[in-house]
Amino acid sequence: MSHDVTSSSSRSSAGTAPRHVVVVGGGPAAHRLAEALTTRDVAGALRVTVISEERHSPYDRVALSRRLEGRDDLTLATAPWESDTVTLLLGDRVTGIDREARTVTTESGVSIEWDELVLATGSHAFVPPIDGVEHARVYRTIDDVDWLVDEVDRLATSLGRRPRVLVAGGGLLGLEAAGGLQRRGADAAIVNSAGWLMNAQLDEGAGQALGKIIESQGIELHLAQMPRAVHVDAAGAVTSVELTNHKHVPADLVVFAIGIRPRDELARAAGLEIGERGGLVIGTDCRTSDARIWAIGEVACFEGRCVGLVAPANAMAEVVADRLLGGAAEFTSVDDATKLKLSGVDVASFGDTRAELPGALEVVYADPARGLYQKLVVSDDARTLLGGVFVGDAEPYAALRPLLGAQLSADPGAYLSVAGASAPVDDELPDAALVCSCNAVTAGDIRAGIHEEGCTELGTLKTCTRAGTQCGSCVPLVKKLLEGELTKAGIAVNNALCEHFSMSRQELFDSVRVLELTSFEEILTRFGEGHGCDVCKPAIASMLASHFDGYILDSGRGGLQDTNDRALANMQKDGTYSVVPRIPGGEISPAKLAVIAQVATDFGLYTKITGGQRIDMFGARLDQLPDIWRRLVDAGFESGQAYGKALRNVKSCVGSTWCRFGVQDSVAMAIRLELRYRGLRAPHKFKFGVSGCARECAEARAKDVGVIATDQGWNLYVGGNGGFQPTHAQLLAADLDDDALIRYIDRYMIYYIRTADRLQRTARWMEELPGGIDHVREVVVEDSLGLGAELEAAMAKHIGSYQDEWAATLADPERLRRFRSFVNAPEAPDVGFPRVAEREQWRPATAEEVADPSTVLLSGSTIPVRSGS
Amino acid sequence: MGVPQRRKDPMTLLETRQYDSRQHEASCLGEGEREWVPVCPRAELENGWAEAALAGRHQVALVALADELYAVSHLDPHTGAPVMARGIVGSRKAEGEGHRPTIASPLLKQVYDLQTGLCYSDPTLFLECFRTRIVDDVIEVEVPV
Repeated sequence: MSHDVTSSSSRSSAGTAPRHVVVVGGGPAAHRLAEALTTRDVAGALRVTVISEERHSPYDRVALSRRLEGRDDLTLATAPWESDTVTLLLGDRVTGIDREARTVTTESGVSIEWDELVLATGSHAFVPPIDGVEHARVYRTIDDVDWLVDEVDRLATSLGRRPRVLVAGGGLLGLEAAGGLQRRGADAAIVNSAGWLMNAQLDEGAGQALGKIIESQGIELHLAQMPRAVHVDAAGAVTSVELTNHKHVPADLVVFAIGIRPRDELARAAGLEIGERGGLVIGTDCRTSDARIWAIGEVACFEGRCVGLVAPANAMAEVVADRLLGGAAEFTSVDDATKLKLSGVDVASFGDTRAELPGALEVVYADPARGLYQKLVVSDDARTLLGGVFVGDAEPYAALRPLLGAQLSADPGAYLSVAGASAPVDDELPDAALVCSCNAVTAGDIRAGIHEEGCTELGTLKTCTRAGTQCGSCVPLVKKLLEGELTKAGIAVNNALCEHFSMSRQELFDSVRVLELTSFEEILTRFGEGHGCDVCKPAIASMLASHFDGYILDSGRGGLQDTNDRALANMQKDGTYSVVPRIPGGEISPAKLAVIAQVATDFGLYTKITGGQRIDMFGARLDQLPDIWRRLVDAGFESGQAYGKALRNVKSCVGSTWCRFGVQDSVAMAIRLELRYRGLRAPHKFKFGVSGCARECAEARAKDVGVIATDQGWNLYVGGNGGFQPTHAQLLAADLDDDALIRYIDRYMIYYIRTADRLQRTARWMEELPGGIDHVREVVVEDSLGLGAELEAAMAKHIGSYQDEWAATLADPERLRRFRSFVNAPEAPDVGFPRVAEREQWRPATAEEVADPSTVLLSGSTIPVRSGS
Repeated sequence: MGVPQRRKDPMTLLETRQYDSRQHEASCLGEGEREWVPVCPRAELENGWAEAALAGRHQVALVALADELYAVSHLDPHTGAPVMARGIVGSRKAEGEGHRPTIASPLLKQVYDLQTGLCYSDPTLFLECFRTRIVDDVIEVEVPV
């Protein structure tokens, strides 16, 4: 856009000064715009101010159900706000627009000048004017969700029973709210004005199938009804809701989610053109009736309607970003595809769901009794895909949605998975097919990511293309595309463990288990070639440990172990080892602390507190390890397995025993878990955390298994880690008692051990699992594969055969032979570990210090100075 | 001894890595005077589990496989740390040469050919090799005097 000579000097008098873009609203659309501008405006032509009335940094509103079920942090990437050219104002609301002066004024009295104004004010939840409605709440923001969760907890306590929640509205949001609150411990009911649920997206058959599923979750349905009044008692507490049929439904909490209305009041006051049913009218350039004012997201009215979905909002934001930078992008169509984000309920639809296009045919499979319904809408020759609806099993959705408008290669019925068919696989997605509608990523973009950016793993492909990073529903398709492309490129998806084994870890693991192979030689003879290597040997050692337990250095398994396992200690850079005794839950008596202090002093060891609430002693020679451990074992310590791909530690906060805020005894639970799972070997090391309240001082959500206390029990989180690629754990199940908690952890860990890849942490494993956390929940919580008892039995077997590896070593002279420094001089100390003093302890001398004759090389009482000189 | 060993022109060696016993002999034969040193009974070694041993003033790593016996320096060529005997023994498939015996450094996992001392992952590194023999069931290693 050219420079406007009439603009005031303070704004941008010279063509070189950056133009000021003011964005009103801080939802996902505003975030996407800021992100697009910061990445694309390399010339620094613009400066951006985003004004949001919410206190939270812009977050992913689409994922509110995750907040409801698991208190997830939904904050969207903060990179745009860290840019020098972007200002984010939180907790302030724009109250007026002056189009002449080109300013906005805010509630706090600030006046801000703009060159370009973008309205991204979104919607508010519609609440009908009925009696008592002021006692009802809505489901719209993080604050709404947090309030609802707290209120359900409060009501449960004060009423001494499950609170009753009535949700008005049977659409996407209403279902998410009801399902989420049900999981949080409420009894939910839904009132919907239509005769079936999700009537905006689904036809009657699909809506009824969905109703069956929802009722089977214990949620009561009141269909073809609307609330007439909310009744309260003398104290103002809600008691019931009266419906249009005059029935009174008992309720302690009422939530309205019956629809949204665009927040167009600012625009109305400013005299901008408003659509018939509200919303700011925009053209394909996303401009309003004022060429300097733009509208994006739910407040924008395109072709007569406002749409409450994130995909068009993102697309509009991209158009405006492009236009502000001189481009000519256009917003052309709204992708109405939706997928319900509620665990245990599969619903998805796209395209012409009601077969309203001329000549459209419907191919339907309906089994309302089982809650199954699948429908494809096709052209009259049954070749072109026009739409689809899936309830109860939405598996075909991800693969079919991108084929909207394309020719199907087979009979439409073949695509309905509930009819027993598996979809034809040879449908090649055209490059233009939209795979990720949230981020407008096409099949062509994904192919470019694979071939041009070299992203050959799902995780990196998601990061580089952004496909599947918002709602995640397209991830199975992205994975399928990736595998297809790699196969075509001859990079055949290679799951081979290494050059010696062509099988994947999981295949080998299952074979070893089924055939009961107990030695590396047997396994190699049967499935491999050569003599193995540093990849397959430790991997097979881990499998054998998982299947047969037993002492890891016996039965020819010693030579398979990786560096640290081999010495039951951690090798450091100079070839000495560090020693970590187990300190369950991080709780240790003063007397035991004194033992560690004395051992470290006597052996000249450097000590450091680890990240896992334990104490690491560094600088021990191989031949000293048995002597050190004899002292530790005699004092009641056992191996901390810091050397193994095994449970490291269970970190805990001090919990309700001491803490003013603690609601459960986190230390006792941490110790119980650590003693239960100690010695368990897995594809990768893993860590647990237990926090005694929601303040989460144990940082449990950064652990593979995180347990957080609630008033009613424990919330179980899985799949978190720190390390190179940090990930927050996700909620698997809420408010568990001790037994259920342990049962789920048993199942989760064994399922992970059996199916993960070599050196794959739980977070990456869950990312790669089709279905992710939902699939894990089905297997672990709902026991959908019927594996529960078997997984628990496998864990029980491990626990029953646990022995402390160091006590077992010390008890057997044959085992102690592995700790000799030299085969022909077992008593001669290992040599060559020069030390210097630093901060009152020993550390290894650097190469320069060793070479420099003026350096004072010290040695501890038993550590000789360098050899060979 | 004590200094990591590097060959001046490792690339040449890599290109001509056609194993035969003479080359193994060649890579184990350095310049200067050498002597055979008895180290330990063969029965002390477990196949596939390397052990460190003192041979004269040298720290060597002994590796026994079913019918092969190797001795290489115990010092890790990359760091100089005395750790090679704690590495994993295995094999590497080489074009036209079948499976060649290897040992991996336990520190940063560089893989070395037990017969030639050449490093598969970093051609600038070289692991010193020594000839071995068994005399009356006792392992002997040939090291520089």
